[in-house]
Amino acid sequence: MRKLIGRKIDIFSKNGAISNALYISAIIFFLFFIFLPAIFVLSMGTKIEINRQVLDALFTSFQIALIATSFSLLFGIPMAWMISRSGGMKKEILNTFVDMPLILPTAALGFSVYLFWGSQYGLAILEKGFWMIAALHTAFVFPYVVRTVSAAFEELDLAYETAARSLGANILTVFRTVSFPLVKSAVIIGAMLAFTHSLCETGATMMVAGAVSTAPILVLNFKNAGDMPAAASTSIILIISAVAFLFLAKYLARRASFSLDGVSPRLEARLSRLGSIRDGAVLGFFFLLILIPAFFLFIFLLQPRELPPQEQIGLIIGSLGTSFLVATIVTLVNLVFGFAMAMLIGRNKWGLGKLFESANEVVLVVPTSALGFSLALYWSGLQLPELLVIILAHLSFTYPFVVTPIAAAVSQIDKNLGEAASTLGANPFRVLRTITFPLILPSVLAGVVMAFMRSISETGATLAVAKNVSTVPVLIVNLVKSNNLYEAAIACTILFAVSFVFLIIMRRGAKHA
Amino acid sequence: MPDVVLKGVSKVFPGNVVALQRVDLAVKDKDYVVLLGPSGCGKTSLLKSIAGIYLPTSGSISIGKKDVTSLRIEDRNVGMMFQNYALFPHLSVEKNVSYGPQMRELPLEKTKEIAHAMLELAKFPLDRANAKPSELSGGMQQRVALARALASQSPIILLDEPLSALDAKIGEELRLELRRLVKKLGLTAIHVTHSQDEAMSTADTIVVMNNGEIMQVGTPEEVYFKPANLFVADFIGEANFFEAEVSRSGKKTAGHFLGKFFDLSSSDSSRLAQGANRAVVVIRPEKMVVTKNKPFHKNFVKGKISIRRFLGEKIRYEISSDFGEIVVKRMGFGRSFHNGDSVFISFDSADALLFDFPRDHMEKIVGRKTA
Repeated sequence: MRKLIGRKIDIFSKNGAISNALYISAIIFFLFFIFLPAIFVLSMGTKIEINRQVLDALFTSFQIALIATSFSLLFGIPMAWMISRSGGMKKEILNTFVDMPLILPTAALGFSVYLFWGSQYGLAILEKGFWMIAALHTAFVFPYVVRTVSAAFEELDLAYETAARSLGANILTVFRTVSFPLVKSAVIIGAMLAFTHSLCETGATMMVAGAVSTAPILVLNFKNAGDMPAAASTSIILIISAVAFLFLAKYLARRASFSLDGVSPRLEARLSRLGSIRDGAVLGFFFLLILIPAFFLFIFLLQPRELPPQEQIGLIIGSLGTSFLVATIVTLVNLVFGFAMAMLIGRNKWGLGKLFESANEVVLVVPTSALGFSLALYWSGLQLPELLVIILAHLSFTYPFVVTPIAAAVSQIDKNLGEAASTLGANPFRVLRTITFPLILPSVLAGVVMAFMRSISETGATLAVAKNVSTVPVLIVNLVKSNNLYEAAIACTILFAVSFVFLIIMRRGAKHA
Repeated sequence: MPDVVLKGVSKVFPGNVVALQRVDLAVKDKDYVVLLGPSGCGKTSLLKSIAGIYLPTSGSISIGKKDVTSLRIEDRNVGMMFQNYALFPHLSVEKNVSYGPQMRELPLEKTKEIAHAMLELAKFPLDRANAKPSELSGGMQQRVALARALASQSPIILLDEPLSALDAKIGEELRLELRRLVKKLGLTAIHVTHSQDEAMSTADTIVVMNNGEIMQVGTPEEVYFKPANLFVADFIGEANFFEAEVSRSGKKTAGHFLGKFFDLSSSDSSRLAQGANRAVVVIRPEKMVVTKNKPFHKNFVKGKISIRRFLGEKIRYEISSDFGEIVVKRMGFGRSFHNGDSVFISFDSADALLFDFPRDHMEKIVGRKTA
């Protein structure tokens, strides 16, 4: 059956116009459903009001982002180094641990961090507020730094390090003079990812913020209070800051060159013998500040309690259904429309590759609460049902997650393969079907899973567009607010279990393909 | 006094991959030693063990008279050149070469002096000292890599396939310069290569390796004319291998192969076990004589030229006789034969070597079918 359909499509594709039509419809979809809604709020730019409240919130957001990023760099870079230089079992274990906060949906992460630092069941040394937000954000962005930097260390040819050592350099000096300078662009990218993720985080932050407002929280507060212009202003400023930061970081990644001179190699030689202490400190930080807080909610869950009432379970299942429905629809639609866009970017069709790549990055970088707000405004004229608006919102921010990996994979496919196939008689669609697609399948799979997981765990955008419909993360936020901690823990666990299953599927799929 | 001594060095990787099996080797001071063998023979593992990149699973390594078996790379004071040079991409040529002296915290002027001296020795134009490695050609990069290794002023230099990444012609020129420089500075060199040509033209001593073991240690002449075993006989140069039945009585030895009996009384049968009645007879192609008319030697067969190839210095013939193929090489000038010519092939028994017939099938040892 598949062969039959495939062959029919092959016949169609002999017509170059079909593929052009596909590209154009992909572009139209992108513009009208993804890009414009995301930045629509900017069109209200003339009414920007910058008052004390907005500035304070922005300042708070930037401070927290800076703290989270700095700590992540300080401990994350040595950790990335340690992981990349470990072997076998140790590396697998460390990698899994580092990835774990990423698997945990942010609402669950926020809840867990609150439990650990602030509640009577944990350490109870922090109050909801600035420092708890900082602790949350650090746990949350740390994996971005470690993954990015350790990937760069892995790719670094071991021969450089060996050469330096053969010339008499001890391991610390090697790190300072050779390894670190060669990964600086990855460090910058990691820092940038960390910073922007912290800046944009909404859902989890809401649970631990107490009276403090970060910029994304302010947007939601304004919106809930009905003050649309203020919400718009804050959104605009937030978007502009995030985008500016994105481009600044990209520029710096290309230019920056630091050289750390003036340190004595002999001193470093002595210090390098303290290797195990350094390792211990890094691991200690990781466990105490990142891993344990992130998973504390499971410890909380272990205490025996009576099950919550029927209706609560019903609520949880209901929101699970909503989350699933939204995630599935969104992933499928984006796969269909995003695929052609990915091809366009990857093959730089009509020379527009870079343009759309940047447009995608902008969507990626817009803080989700601002994005949600912008999108709600965009569609407000149509009086759409809430569920549909949620779907549209999720469509918007998961789109880049589908497009980016596929585009990257497509651009890396050896053009020669396609040409070879053509000389053997395959028309373009046949090439696509039989050669391109199997090669990019792991990336397609990765994109699909990331988009799905992202949608499942997204809180901020959902809160920005809806009042009555709740997805699981929204439910968690509400439960925590009303102090139904046990039910919240259950909801978190279910959410986590689903994400975990999908992660396994993705890893398996990637290994098979 | 030997400079580098390995005793019983074994290296086993996870998954039971045996790279080295109880290797014993003594490298003499100021000798130019080349480790030669096919891929996977262990030559690079051996070099890396000496450098400290690999720690032996068992055995000991000493440099000078110091046991370095458990010393870290940076504490061994051994200069090293890498296959792809591993020049630090973010540093200029000068900074690359100065790296070693910097690590010893030498004063700035001294560092610069050494760097420039080494670059000059390696014949690298000093006016390009500020270039980055990516801006240089392969040959230039190799010179920088050499200068950098020499700048650490260690008495031993290890070279891991230093010429493999270069074009053949440049490689040939540079290998002679390499040896010249090493000799001029009075260094001990241990050089890994899979190229026989390179080994033969640069080495004082060749160490032939296979499957993690040393097959033979000797001068280029020794490994060529007196291979210790069938592997070396086959790996070095080209040879004819004949499976023969042998019989010995007193001082006379006769071998039956190619359908005839040959007198092998003057052949070197030192590698043959006393009571053996099977052997492999090895004769180098250039020691086989091909003539139009019946030859002088007692040992001859008749055959027809089946393949003729002109190689420049030599002409290579493959000749079919009734009972097998024979390969002969002659000088390129003078009289030559053509395909299909009927000829006589003969040899002096003193030019034949007799080896024990291997337990495993010949093909495994020698890698291809034999007569």
